[in-house]
Amino acid sequence: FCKYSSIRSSMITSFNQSSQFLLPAAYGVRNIQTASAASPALSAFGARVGLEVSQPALERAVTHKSFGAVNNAQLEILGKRVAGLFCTEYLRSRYPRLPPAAFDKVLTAYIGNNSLAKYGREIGLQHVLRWDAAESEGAFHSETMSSALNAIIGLVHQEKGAEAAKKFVHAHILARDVNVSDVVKIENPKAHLSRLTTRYGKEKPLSRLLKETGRATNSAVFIVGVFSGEEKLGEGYGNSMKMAEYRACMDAINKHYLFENKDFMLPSDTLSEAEYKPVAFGDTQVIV
Amino acid sequence: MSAQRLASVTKNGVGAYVLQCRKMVFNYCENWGSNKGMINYLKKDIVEFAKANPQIEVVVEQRPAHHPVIRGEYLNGREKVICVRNMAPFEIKQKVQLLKESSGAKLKNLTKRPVLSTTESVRGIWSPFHTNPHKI
Repeated sequence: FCKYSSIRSSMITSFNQSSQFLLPAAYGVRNIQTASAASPALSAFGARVGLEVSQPALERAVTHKSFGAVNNAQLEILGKRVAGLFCTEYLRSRYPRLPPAAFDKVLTAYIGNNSLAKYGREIGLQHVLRWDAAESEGAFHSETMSSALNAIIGLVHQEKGAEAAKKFVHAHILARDVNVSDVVKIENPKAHLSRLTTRYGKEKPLSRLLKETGRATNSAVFIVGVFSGEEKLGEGYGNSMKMAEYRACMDAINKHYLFENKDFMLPSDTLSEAEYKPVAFGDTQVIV
Repeated sequence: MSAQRLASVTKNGVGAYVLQCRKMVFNYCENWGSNKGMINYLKKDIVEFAKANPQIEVVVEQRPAHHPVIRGEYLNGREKVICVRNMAPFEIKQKVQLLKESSGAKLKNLTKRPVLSTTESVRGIWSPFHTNPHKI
């Protein structure tokens, strides 16, 4: 009966669909789900996310430690590191020159608690999550959500193996979009760019005014390009020449550090493929 | 100014595709005549639909003294309700398909405003700096 369908017939006459899942307020318990092991919502969730794991295991993965003894704490520990491994190797290969501080920001954007909680809400995890708000000692809902998602990743790794876990992480976590355009923070971009050109044996950077309009007005526009000899490294706009030069230097720096590999192999590809061609690590950032 | 925390945005379908309809509730009444088609649908077609769509939680509830109704609940928190009174099973099937394929977002009028897009324009936005000055 319950094998492939999530149908549940009920003879409930009162039209209140939430009454099956939540205890009445008189019991003094908030947000506690009393879904049984054959919960249709849980099996629907599993199918939606593409999990082919056993129902009791999935139920355990979505049970927060505040709910009871059988919980997802151990799976969360495993899943967090599995997600961390696959995301780190992918981002390192994709952005080989990203400095450590910027890299941390990008990694957090993919697998941080808030990101995972946000994604959990987008896949309907809040409807199957089992937790007790009163007992979770002030843990925010985002922590319980991200713990459940980490536990699901750990469960896939445990039950299906590394390849399946990698596919899951790539399909759900790494397929999300992160805008890396202003993740690199530099105090003095002009000096930083000067050091960069020295390192690569290029001529020292020279700013040139490319275009301007309305110089004497209150809304001037200047376009400045920063050149190394004849090569234009970056371009910037601004309503003062100083601002335009600043943006031009930042543009040049971003073009360097945010360099993106398009076609690359991952170290974990060795799990399935014999021939592995490693990606060259980019140079470290310049110290000014 | 850029935000403190870098945010990630889901692009549904780029990696995994997640169907936006998460639950469908079918309400019927035994006595009222408008429910005839709905009762036939529940007898014949609903099991096939539930089998084919394991990601949708299908709930069948009696709701006496009311017209038959299908309620779709979506991942964005909204719900869509369609009254299927006096409809034949094949018409109900069409409505079920409509609810399944919806994203749950509010219906917007696409005929008034131009295209909204997150990707840049193909030919670039016009700029006065990159045109030749007017010559008579």
